[in-house]
Amino acid sequence: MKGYRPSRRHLLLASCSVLAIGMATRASIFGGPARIVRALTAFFPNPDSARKIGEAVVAVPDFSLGSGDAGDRLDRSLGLVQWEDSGGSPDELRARLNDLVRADYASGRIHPVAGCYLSETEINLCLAALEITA
Amino acid sequence: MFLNADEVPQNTVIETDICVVGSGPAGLSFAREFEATGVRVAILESGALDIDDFAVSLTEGEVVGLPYPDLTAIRQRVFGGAGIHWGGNVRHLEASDYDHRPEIGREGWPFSQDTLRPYYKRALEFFGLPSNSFDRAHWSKKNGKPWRFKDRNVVSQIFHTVGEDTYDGGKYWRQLFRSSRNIRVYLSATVVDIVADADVRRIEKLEVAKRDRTRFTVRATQFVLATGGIENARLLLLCDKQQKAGLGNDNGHVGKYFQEHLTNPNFAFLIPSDPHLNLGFYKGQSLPWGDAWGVLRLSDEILKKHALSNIRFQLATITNTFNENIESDGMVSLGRLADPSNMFPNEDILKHVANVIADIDYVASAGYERLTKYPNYPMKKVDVVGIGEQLPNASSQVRLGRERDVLGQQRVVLDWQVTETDNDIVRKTVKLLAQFVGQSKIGRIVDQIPPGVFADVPPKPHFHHMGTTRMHDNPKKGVVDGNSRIHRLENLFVAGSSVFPSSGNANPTYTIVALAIRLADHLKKVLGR
Repeated sequence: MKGYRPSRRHLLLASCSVLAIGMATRASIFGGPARIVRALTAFFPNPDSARKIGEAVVAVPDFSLGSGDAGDRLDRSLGLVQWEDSGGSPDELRARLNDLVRADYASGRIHPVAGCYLSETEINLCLAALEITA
Repeated sequence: MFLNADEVPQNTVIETDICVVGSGPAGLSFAREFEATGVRVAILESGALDIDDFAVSLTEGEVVGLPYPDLTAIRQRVFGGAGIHWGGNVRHLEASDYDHRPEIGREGWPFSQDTLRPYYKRALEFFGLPSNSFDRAHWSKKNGKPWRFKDRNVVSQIFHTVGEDTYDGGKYWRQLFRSSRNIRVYLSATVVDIVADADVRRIEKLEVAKRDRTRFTVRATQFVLATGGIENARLLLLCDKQQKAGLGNDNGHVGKYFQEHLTNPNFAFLIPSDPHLNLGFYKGQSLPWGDAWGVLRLSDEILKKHALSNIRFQLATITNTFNENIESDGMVSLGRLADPSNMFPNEDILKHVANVIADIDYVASAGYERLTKYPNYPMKKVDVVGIGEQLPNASSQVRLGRERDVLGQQRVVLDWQVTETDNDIVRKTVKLLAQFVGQSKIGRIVDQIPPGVFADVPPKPHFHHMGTTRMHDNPKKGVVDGNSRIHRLENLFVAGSSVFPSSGNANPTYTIVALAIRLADHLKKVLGR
């Protein structure tokens, strides 16, 4: 994402991306509220991998998961504003992500990315990681 | 008793009750049922006790269509037949494999699995396997629990591999028939003509060629062709003196619907969510008779819902799935991910990333623990090999060629074809497997199927030759009836996988033997025994 300026939404997106992919991030990248940094550092630090998957998604010709960017889609599906307003619990965010991923698999919303079948939520997370850190 | 046909005087007429052509698993397991019954059985085997050049030359043929190995290499014209090189895999066809499936253009069998069940049971004894061989609960206790799939969309099943110590085609049969008083095996006896009565309603005799090209005759009351999935059709097509299109070929089905089991060696691989995922059920264990191991397949409900054929998923082969090399891939990935600075910039990123993404629950908790506390724990990559049913299509066939063998018989042409429907089914199946594996939190599936599927990478054949004299109660749709009798002919039967209307995903030998035992029971009734 060119001209990136951190916003609350992006900070939240960054946190859920990293949570979901099992990677926390470096506080120096995201800055942001202390609770997000605490949440992120509880997980394994490797944002590079998420970006690599995001790059693989972008490389798929005519690949589309709907309108808007990945951040918009995650914002809508995860209800990030409400999550933060309700206290921003990492456990709750993780639970929401799990619910979305389960729903994706249950309904067959999966797509091959360089051969690996991933759910739409997982793909959105990786794309978001790419957008945020690009 | 073994006899060398070359020592039978020219123009001799041998009288017997039943004449069996071919001494592979079908012919021999059929004949075995008559041991010590007083019924005279003559088995005509074109080969000898050991493989020899003359017999091999008779199996030469032409391959067109999909690539296929030399026909002399994958068929055994010798006493014991395909049993000589049989891999030993044993499992019955599933109940749904017998169903008529118009949505995928598949004819059904004239009977259900229940009809064959008692014969499968007898065939188990034949292979030296216990009666609980396919009891999943039993093997779950012994080998480990099968994976649990949500809504049971994927089911786990047991296969057995019978080792050479238990079943050696040549040795076993030699011992059995050497001392038989009522079963005579004529070696080097090649059937070159099947002669019916004037109305072509009843077979009267077989013309048999010796290696010096002179002939003798075998008369019987019942005849059984058991020469294999390619040769059964060839022999019927060769008999064109009384029926121009070939014997039993009134409706043009002889040689059509040739089916193989379709294999994608690089079907997919599985990235388990949990490095402790128990593979025991699928890896199996060695047993006195060989091995018992597990496979996966989509449930019957899913097959029907999505109009799919029946593909089984082997977690690689039982001999090399779980070897150190494969596990070391995971370890290499793991090491690189644990320290991103080690990741080479031009490597296949997905290979490594897929190891991490797995299941969110796992990665977010246990994954972190594992990666930090047990960095050398092997994360397994499990190869998934797809072996499946080919849908019958008339363009896939065996027919007669122009070239002739040393006995003057036209050689066979194998024209193996798969359709776009077969390709579509493979694509759909791998996606559904990925869906159910992900839904059940087992891991992620990486699809390795090329875009054109079999058009890009031809299927690997298993030398399972099926469908060329298929079974159907309606003569307009099949060659033999539900008793394996060729329509219109009162006393000519076919044994072997050429009668399979559909192929399922199980190796055919077990079903071949069950059908042969059933045919033996039927002919005992016909003969009043």
